[in-house]
Amino acid sequence: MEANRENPWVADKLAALEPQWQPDATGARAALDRRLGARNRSWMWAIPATAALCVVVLAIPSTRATAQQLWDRFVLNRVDIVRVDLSRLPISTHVTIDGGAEERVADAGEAKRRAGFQPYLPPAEILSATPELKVSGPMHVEQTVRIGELRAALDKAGASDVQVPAEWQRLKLQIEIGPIVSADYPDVRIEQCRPFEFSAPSGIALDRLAEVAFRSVGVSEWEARALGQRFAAHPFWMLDIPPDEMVNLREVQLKSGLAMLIEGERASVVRSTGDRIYYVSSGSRELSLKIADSLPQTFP
Amino acid sequence: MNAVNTAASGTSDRLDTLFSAHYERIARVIGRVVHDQARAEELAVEVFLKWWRNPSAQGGQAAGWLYRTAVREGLDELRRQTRRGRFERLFGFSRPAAPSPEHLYVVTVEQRNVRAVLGSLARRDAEVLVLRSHGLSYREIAAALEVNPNYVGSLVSRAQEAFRKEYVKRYGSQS
Repeated sequence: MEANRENPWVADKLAALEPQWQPDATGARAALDRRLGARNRSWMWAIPATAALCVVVLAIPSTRATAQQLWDRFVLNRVDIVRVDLSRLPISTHVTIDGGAEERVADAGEAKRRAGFQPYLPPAEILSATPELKVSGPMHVEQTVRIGELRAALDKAGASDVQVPAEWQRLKLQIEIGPIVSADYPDVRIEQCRPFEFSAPSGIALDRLAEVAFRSVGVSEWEARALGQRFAAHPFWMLDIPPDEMVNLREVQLKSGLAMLIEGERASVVRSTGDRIYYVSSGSRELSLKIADSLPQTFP
Repeated sequence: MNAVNTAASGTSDRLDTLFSAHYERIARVIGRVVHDQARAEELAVEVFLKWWRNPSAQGGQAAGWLYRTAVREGLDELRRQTRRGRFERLFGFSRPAAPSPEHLYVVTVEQRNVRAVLGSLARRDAEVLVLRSHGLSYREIAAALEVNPNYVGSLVSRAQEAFRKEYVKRYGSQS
């Protein structure tokens, strides 16, 4: 008998630890699914709430030069990160998704037909499993500025001295995102899409609008202006990560170019090339970097 | 189901199966060490999430891996709580427990003493004792702790003796 040599006194003591409660398997399963869902949720679909104003600043020089056009369009393929919570931007957002969110497809050929581009996956020596492929979108985001809400947010942020021009009332900004192809492997997610397209009415002082938007979420005057100038010099798309979110961010040099490493609960890499934006997420920094580095720089 | 989806779906199916088969036992293993049910169940969910994220855990010994991870999560939490308790006492944050019937009080004190002793033992001893007290067989303990099944009897005896000595040292003679 296994227990022959065991000390019954110790066994009795330890028996006192028997839980008197019944585990809630249903609640736990729901909690697990929520956590798995959060992991699997498309990173790029998190964009809409902040997308348009995030990219407003990108349009600055060209908008002024082409003021005769009704709309100015810009293609955004660079990504950078700001530690600001842009979800608090006082702006109305309307999102339309064509083709549904995250529909499973049979193979890369079908993904290409649905998305309009050939998805690229890492070689088998890096990830040998067969991924589950999904295609989402495209998504059209329209955001409308309402100066009353903007002024109220500025007051709340302690920036009531900032002037909001009356002509911004009902100003519309638009962005086209996707289609996005996602590839799910065990513990790894890869997303890719073509660069975003951003449109804004011509003749609007977008640099000023961006500065005011930043001020409305509590960014200091100096910082808001600096952000505007930074983006004006080298246009790119901003991914916002709130300052209280516990993540480490750093730019990393891959063999294939620069990328952004975001380390929190998981290790994510954002990388953009001439015609694509990639997002790779896994539980391991080394693996995420290796995968991101294996994805091609340009496409034929 | 087509071939493309088989790999990822296979892991999902396996997670479903493992969760159904082991969740309650995993939660109760952690519950032996972590008094608070909500926290114990939170950690149990975390164990399954770790399994999902860790391809090397998804081999043939998944159940053993789950128990090993569960008992470690529980003991780590116990140590965190002990550390926190020390700080709280130091700064006078701790409050006396609400009055309860005597037998419940005795059980609570006993549980606290046993947990305190477990928290002070070598990790391997504490792991063996928690898994054994939860009713795992020697073979199951061997699989969970990745040791030779022939050594489990000795490990249990040694761990029990370490427990007995520490308990007596802290709370007086065996009673």
